[in-house]
Amino acid sequence: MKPSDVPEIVERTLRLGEVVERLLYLDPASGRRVELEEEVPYYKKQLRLVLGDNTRIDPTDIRDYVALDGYQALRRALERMKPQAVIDAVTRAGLRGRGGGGFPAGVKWNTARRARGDRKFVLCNADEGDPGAFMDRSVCEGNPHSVIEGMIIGAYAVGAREGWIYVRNEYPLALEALALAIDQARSCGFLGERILGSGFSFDIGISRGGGAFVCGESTALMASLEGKPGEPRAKYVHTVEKGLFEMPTVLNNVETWANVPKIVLRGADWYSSIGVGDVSENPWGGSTGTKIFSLVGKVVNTGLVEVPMGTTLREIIFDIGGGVPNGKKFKAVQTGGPSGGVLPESLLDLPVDFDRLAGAGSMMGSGGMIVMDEDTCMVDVARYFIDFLKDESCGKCLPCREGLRALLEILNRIVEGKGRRGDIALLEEIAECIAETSLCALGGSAPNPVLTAIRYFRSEVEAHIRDKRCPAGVCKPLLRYRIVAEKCTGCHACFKPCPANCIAGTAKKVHVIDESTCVKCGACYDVCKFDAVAR
Amino acid sequence: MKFTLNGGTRQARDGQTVLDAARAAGVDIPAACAHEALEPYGACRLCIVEVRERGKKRWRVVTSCLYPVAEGLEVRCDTRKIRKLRAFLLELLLARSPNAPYVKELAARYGVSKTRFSRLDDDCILCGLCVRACAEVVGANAIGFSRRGIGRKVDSPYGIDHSKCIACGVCTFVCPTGAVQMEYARVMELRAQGGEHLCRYTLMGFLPDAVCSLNYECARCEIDQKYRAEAGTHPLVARALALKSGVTGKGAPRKKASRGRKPAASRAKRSSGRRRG
Repeated sequence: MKPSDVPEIVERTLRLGEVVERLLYLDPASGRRVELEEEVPYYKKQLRLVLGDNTRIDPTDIRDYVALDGYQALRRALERMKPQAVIDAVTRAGLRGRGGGGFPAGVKWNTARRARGDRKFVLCNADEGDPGAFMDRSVCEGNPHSVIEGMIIGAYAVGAREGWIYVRNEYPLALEALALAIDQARSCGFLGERILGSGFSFDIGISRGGGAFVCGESTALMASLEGKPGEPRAKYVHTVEKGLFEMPTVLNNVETWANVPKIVLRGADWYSSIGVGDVSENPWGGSTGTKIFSLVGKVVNTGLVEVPMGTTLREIIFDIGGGVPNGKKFKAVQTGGPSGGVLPESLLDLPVDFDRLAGAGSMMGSGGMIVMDEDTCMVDVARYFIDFLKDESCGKCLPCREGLRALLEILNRIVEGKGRRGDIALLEEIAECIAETSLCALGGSAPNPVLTAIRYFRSEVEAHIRDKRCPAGVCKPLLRYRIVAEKCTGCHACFKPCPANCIAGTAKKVHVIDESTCVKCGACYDVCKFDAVAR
Repeated sequence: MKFTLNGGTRQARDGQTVLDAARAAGVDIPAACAHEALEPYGACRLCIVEVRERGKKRWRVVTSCLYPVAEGLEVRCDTRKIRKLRAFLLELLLARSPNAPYVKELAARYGVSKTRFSRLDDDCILCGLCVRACAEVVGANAIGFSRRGIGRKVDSPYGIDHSKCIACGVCTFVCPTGAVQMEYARVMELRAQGGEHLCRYTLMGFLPDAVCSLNYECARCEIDQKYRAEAGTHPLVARALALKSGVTGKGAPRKKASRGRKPAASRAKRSSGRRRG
């Protein structure tokens, strides 16, 4: 839509109530124009419980949030529910931790309520560090009060008086929005002493992260909050019993907290009816509610997508995401952030929930979803993520620090064409050791990218090692560009883009690439209209 | 409380770790980052064992230095899985520090003599004994870890500030590989302060106001030799152990030796008295 369209809209739509057909959204899949926003396929299959209000409220004004039933859940909890009833509701709703662990929030709260301690804490993990993931950022920036209200209700349920939000320092807008929201909530009596005239007092502070990926891990986050280096510690005594400052601590992620007011206000039965599985008996029995995914990569519609749990990967990537652009073929989707796994086309009909993803060797993680097309090399992807993790590992424990270095060493030699027989078995051996013996979940899940690449794309890995060939044409040392004599028309088009001047030949005569000086940039391959450059 | 160790029933104290209980029972478990005077840390992972909690079906791999014994806990220390994982960990350790005799001996003891990975040739195994001893035993916090991941290293604050170092030498004493050496720069700095410089045993709190007559040539120091002979270990480690066993025995909350400046002073009087006597 352009400014020049405005007169027509005013004339026809506002005055006459007509639809301006030519300005409607054109659905590329069906070729039809769509009249209503909710009929646009991108939104049609979404259920925006958490994100929905982002477009309707001004995050800097608490009145907007209150006008949309904001803080009504808190009121209901304080006035009509005992703390245990709140916990029971969250348990029956089947709310599981959105940070990736999928631990039932109600079970966690219950343990914390019963744990003995002079002080208790509720914490919010807003240290979103996965590359390409910005779910929590969007909620913190767009609807900070939903997180704050969730935390107050949680604190009431477990008997905590202090709360902390641990926010990535790289999220200045989220920091600003949360700080303002906390101030406004305090001035309205939602935070502070004797909240809403009840006997319950609670307040929230903000702590800025120090820029380490590992600080999203629960014990590292707590160490960081205590003013120590952000390094994980063993969790043989759970943090709900001995967490921050050795006191009972409930840590939930931004998205988990934002779901809590909805559950309290609309009831556990309503919430558990969304999603898959039966959580009435067993909180681990299913995955209920919605989950926000950060859909990025080689997909037409990138952005935040909130769908009911159990939606299939195909629905998310093709119906909502619009599929892979430029006519390329779908190859894989990486879920769960750097330490998640890559899933192949054959698993596209996998319903996305905590247990199914884990069963497939990947994980929910915080909800990152990176779509990859046929031009992606799976060995290179695994190498990329291990390279990321070896820098982001805190380096405290031996298997994560030295094991990731070893994994990277093997992967590097494979993509350089120096892979050896037995390297796949060696990768699996290192991966098993890292996963089994690492101190925290970062190490525990770090080998996933490698393991799933081997599990689902074994032939591609083997091609690198045995045939010294990269089927996707990504790993430069394994590439050879040559000109197919029968197809070359001698048009000279490949001369100009070649940065190494390694193509020889005269007009109308077959050209030749000098492989000794070729830098394997692929410029000739891309520019040739006759498919005469082969690799 | 009772627990099962490699099939046999054993007794353990409340709050005891599996490593302590197993070692008390004479079972050999390697551990490179554990030290009796320090809090457990769980970085080297060599002390892994398999445990099964009462009423649970699944065996889990855990680090015994951190895992508390519980009633009815079953522990297996020498399964095929543990041997395999431990050998692999030692192979990784050997790749990091292939020249350190301590690492070579430890690896050889568990049948590992070579590594399939590229060597780093760094004698520091990042066990953190020096860092933790400086914090927990000395209370000086003069060294710490800097950087992350494979770049992690032991360093003074910002790589420059050693003004907190009292040159007590505990870090070099606890270092298993000899990677930590007393920095000559610090000694030179102390000397450069000019005039009379305090004896390092005064800085440690063992001697009242004694002055170093040797210009910090600790190797020639008679007081040092005397204290070490008396304690059988580094005097500060001995003090930490004494504090630890004394306080833990009464069942009171364990106090870190790092806050033990007062007991240090009182002990200093006693020891200096003994010295004179």
